[in-house]
Amino acid sequence: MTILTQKGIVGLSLVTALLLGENAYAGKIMTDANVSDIVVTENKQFGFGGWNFDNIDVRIVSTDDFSGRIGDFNTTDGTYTPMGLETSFESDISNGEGVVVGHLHGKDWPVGEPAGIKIINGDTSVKHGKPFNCIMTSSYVDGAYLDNQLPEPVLCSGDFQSHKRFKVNLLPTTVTEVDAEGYGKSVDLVFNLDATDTNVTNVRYQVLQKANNYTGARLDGFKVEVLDANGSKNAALTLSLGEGEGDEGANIWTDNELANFSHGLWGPEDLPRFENGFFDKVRAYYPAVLSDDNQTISYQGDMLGGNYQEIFGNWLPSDWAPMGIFNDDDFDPLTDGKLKAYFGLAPGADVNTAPDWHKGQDYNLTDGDQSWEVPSANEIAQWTGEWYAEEHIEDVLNLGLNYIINVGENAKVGSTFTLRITPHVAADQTPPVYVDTQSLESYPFSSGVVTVSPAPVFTAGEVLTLGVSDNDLNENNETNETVTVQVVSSEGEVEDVTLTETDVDTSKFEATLTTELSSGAGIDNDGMMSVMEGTAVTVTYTDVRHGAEGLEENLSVMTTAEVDTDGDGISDATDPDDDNDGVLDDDDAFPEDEGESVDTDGDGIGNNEDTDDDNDGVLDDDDAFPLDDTESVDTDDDGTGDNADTDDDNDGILDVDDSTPTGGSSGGGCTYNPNSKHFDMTFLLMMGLGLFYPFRRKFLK
Amino acid sequence: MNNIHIQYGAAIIAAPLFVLFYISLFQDQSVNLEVLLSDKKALFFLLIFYPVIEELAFRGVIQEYLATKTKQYSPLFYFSLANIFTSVLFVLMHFVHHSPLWALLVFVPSLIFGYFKDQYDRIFPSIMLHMFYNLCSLFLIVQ
Repeated sequence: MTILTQKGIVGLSLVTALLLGENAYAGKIMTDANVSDIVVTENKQFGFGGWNFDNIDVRIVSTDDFSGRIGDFNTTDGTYTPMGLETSFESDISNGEGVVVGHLHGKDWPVGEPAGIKIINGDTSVKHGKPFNCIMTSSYVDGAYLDNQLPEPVLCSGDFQSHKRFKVNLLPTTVTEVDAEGYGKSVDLVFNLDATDTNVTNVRYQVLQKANNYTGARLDGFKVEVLDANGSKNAALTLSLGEGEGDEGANIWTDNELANFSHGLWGPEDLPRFENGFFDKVRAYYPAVLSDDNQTISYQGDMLGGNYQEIFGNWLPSDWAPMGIFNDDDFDPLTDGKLKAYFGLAPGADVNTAPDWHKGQDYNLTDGDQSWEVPSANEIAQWTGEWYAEEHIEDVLNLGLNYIINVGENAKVGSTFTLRITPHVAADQTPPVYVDTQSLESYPFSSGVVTVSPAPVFTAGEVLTLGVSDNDLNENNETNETVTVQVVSSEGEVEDVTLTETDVDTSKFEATLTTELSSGAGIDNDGMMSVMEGTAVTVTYTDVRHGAEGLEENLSVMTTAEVDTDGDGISDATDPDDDNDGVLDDDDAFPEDEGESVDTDGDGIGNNEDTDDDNDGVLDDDDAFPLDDTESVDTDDDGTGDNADTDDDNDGILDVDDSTPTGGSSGGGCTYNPNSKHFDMTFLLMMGLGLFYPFRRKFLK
Repeated sequence: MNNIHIQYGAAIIAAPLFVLFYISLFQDQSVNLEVLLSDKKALFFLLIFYPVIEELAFRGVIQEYLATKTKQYSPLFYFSLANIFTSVLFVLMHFVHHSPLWALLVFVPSLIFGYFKDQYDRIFPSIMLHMFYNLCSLFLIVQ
């Protein structure tokens, strides 16, 4: 085999693959991989072309955040954004409705590369009747990873633990609904057949995959199907469990190898392994069954073989993965660590027993049967040191599948075919007893957690409860120790809060922090956090030994303040009437004061309290127009204020001509008619009398 | 200073006091002084013509006539019955163009005008006092 890279030919290795024995391809899946002349191109996937990306979105991600996107994969030519250490990829698998139902993973760079599946045709190094062709993960051989000058891709015949299997994480969207038989929604992988292949001979492909339970539900089985380009079952497209296809007509796989869990956890001591499984030397497996039409492989029911179901129940989801203590005994972070202990119950223990750390099954029995023994304090202390880490035992989620796809004549199958994987949901969804570690009297883990409640939102004025759980802090199991966390608001206020251990040996610390509704940032470290609508309060705990590598890490948790003025359960942010006074906030001058809603003069005092609503200097009690600052008197009570009224006293004489515009009398005790410039009868009478006076005085008196 | 001076002085001092009293009662009523002062005819009527005519009519004709009919009766609080009756008629006449309260309040100034008529049997003092009272009210009106 010649290995050629862009950096030049470096030499020959084994016999070239000349397609011996399978020199005719029908139903050949496309690939640019040439096992007889391997060429690895930088930043381009080897073995590209066979996986159809119509329902796939490939993201280059940081190993710290698999939900993000830091680079892209070109689904047309297989090139991708240059990657480096602490980068990986995730391929989102969508269904026909655009819902992401699965995540496909391979290995992080430099061990693996996107998109996660490669097609290998003609690897004649495969033994025991297994196909020379396979659908496998896009990874590289130990010692010849992508950071090497001569990267070497893993082939179908790759060695044990050479990273051959791609992993499909079945997501919660696959179990939102189940059919009458208990099957959830499917995850489809589509493959492109080589259009230039016109042969009619069947082509066999081994699928090297795992189905991982990230559904959030306990499963008890699965189904694998193959469908043609029309989405239909097709006689030219079948499945096989390798029955009678192995050496000398034997089966390629035994019953307990068709669908089983990690051999390192449940499996016998055999080459190349040298140890029995941590939990059991018997395989934990599902006895997969091939349908009569050879187009469906399935199983549903109890797990058989090893003590998986006895310890954990049926197929665990990621949410319930048990914690384990791992030892990197080969001091190589890129290889799997060795499991030393797990947290839970021993096999056969009463469900009311408190979960604890347990060693695995003892096969030596040299010092008696120490199976499931609780580690000593010294051992636990040792296992918190360097090269030890507490992590979830992910392998309990991963079901390894072994089967073969027989792809027939292209003309009958079509340009593509679909590999469909469907989970079966267990009826019993009882979680393991160790799941709620918060209910444990003592927090047993070195990796700390920080909590705040209420979260993700709280009502301004509410008391927050802060919590830290970290076994490292419990240095003295006879005293209540303390730890300090920093609480910071988005307004910039800082509160350093000291948490106290809930009891002498719980490793759980708590404290409370009062919040108050305020218009701005409060005073630092005054024992109270000032918040307003939307203020984010972040609690940070510095865990000096956290995670797999035991490094210092700042752990943070956040909760956001809401204001609910009227306490109706609807936060002011969404409440159309915050004070529930019947006046919508948009129309309410005092949206948070149920006693006020109008402020006519805009002086900040609501009309209900304001004694002069229009601020015209006339008190409301004396003001004929309390809401009109241009009027205060209506002499003739006609509804028009005197300032606007042209005849205030409504006497018919306009104010401009009226010496007494508001009525009444002019000065002097005169009979003078102020409203008339004409002589009236009264005047004529008086004038007559007056003129009579001198006559009377002269002639009558 | 003799009795005449005292009587006139008291009557004159009383005028603004009466007006102030009126204002306190009628403070919500206003007079458009600008209009009034610009109306020469109105001023003439208010300050000259009406005082003259009213005094001639009431103190001159009516009170003198009533005095002849009531001279046998004693004065009431220094005010003759003729004066009192004349003042009543004076008030009634004011009801025509003024509010009842305003009309009633002219009773006291009327008694004063009538007192001077009785004392000096001349109409001139009454007329002058009436003019003066009207003038005071004009300048003490709060607009």
